[in-house]
Amino acid sequence: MADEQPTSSSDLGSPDVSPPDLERVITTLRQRVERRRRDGGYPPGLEADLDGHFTRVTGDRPATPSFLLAELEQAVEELDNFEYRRDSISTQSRLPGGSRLHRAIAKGVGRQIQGVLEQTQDQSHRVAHTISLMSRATNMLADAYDTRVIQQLDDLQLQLAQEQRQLQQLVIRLSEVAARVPGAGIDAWYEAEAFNAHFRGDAHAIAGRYRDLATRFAGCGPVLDIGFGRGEFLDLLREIDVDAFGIEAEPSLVEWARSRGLKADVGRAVEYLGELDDDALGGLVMIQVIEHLSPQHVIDVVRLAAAKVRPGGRVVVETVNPMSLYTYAHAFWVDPDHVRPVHPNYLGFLFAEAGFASVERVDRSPVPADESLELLPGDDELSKRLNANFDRINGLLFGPQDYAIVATR
Amino acid sequence: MTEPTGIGIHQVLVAASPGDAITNLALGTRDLLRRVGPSEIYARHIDPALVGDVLPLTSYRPSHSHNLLLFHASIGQAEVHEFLMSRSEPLVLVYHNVTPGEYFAPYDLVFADLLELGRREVASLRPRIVRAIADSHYNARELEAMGYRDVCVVPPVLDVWRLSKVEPRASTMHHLSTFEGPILLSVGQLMPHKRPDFLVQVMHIAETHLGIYEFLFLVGHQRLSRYNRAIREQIQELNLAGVHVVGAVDEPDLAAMFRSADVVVTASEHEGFCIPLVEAMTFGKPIVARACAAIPETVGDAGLLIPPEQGPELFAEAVAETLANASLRAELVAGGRRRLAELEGSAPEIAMVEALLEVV
Repeated sequence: MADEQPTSSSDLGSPDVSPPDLERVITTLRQRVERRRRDGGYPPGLEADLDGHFTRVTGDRPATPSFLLAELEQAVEELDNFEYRRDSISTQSRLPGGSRLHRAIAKGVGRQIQGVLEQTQDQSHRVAHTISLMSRATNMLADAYDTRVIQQLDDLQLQLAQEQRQLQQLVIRLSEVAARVPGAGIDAWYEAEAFNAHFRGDAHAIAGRYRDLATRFAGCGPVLDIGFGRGEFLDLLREIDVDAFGIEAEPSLVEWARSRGLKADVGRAVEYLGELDDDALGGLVMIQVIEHLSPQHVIDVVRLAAAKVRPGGRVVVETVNPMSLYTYAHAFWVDPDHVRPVHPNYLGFLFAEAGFASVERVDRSPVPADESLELLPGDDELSKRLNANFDRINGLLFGPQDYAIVATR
Repeated sequence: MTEPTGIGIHQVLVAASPGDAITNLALGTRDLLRRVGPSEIYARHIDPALVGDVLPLTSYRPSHSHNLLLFHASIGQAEVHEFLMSRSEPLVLVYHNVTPGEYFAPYDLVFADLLELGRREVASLRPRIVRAIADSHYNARELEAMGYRDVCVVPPVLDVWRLSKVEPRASTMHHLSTFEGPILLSVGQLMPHKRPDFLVQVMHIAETHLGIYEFLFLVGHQRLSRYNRAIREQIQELNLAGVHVVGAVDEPDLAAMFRSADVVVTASEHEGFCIPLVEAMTFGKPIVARACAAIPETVGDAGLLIPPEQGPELFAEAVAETLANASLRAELVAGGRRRLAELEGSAPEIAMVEALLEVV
């Protein structure tokens, strides 16, 4: 710090005498620099080397538009002030004919040259004037452009910031709304595999239940299985040599199916079907899938099925039977991802309207016999009437748990 | 904001931001002017911190044409220029100088162009100006070269002692007291025309060839990232552990740095006035600077002035001498006191108001 400095070097005088004149100090310091340069205290070219170093750090300097403009203005001015002078045109001649003849010729030529010079001078002024107008016009345009662009950028930035804020609010609202809408998809923390094992039962046992439906696709390849789950139906189709592939929304299921040699892709029903070529499919199957779709997607899927399955091809859609009230108590509402049951009459109607040649309904998964109301053994009139009532109640409560629509195009 | 009424003297800036020298001066001038009548500051770009205090230029609606407008020229801005050209109020120009664009060309072409545009706009405003005020004689000469006449010189200082009265931050004072070596302080934005690269070279020469280990603090905003990188790279390649690129600091820190400094230095080649050098005098610090632009008239006898054509060798020598020679230091500090008395004696605020009232 200041008070701990070493004492002054001697060549500037002591503090006792009158204060040093600042000019003199600078002169003394300059001499000191010179001495150091001579002594090698400052190596030759030190300052230039340091400047060179910084120039290398900063890189080359490109020209800026305004310096270019200044140069242009200078050039125009020089062009404008340029004078053609006769005396800078050589009049020396080595032609024969004597000096009188030369003077006569020179006089005539001189007048012509004068005329040419005047016109050239005039043209040069016009060129200079034109270039100067061009440069001013360019400059004005650039200035006007700058102002407008900067203003527009300011405005855009403001607008963008506002819209971003709105968008953020919308995203928050959207996720709040989505969380409340049934069927908008739930984000479960548990494993889908655990859910299936708990509620759907062993894959092998399930496969047995669908063998009859698989045979409906004999000779109908390629068959698309939408929502193949654990791939039981794809396995069945492979067993009977029907070319088949499947889509699933859950990537881990797709990976697992692929590892077992099945053809599988990540995809969702409506988007995936929409991208297929018309008549690309021989068959389409959806097992316990349609009840996961929104009502709009249900009708979209049927329309797309009519477009993508070729004539003679087949569509099988199996779902929970809403005509059996037993299913509400035991099956349908177990899966939180179910949107709503699809009535067999409605689904049959959709396929018929979509232009399928035949639409058949197949009842499936009967309720175990011991679950329904037991009939009375007696043959008397009272027993008969009670049993008739039991049958009606059994039909309503304990009807088949699933149904399948088998539609042929 | 209420619309100003009565005869108002309003100021126009291109940009207003806290800590900016021109903005500070405009705010101080406004306080002064409000003693005589309504006075507002209008700007095209307003830092969020000043919204409400400074009004957007688009909101300017004079109730009658007796208003007087005061324009602080800085970078070019076509909208502001157009506004000034289209108004009928008498216009006063306050010229703090506009840095030549060429300094910025290697680092920021757009900014370089805005500066050049700023200089052109100052020149083309001349027919509209009823009174031109310059910070320094140097600035006045520039205006005269553009064709301005009767330029009035008013130093841009409203209260020279303000910073020296700020309580320095104790922790910073303590930190700086642990530095084992003299401290050189340079205050100003890290910009090419301020030549911090020159000071870095000075540090290299001092350390390598004079065997003096000093510290250099480069304090100020770093708005030009390419230049900032270049300076850091230069320091790193020259392996100078004593150079600290500090960036912008608040006033308690700045006061602590001024108090702890042994010498205040600048290698700037272009200054319209250079307020930090006046602040150095209020802290009783000697100055070493280059005799460029308005610096000689600002510094007076408070500093050693290195001729502009001289390189860092002589500058390093001058710093070494100032550090080593107590009587020289005392002389420079005394020179600073004389210069401060001179600045106070000129009563800039009165001069400013007088210059304005002449044209109202």
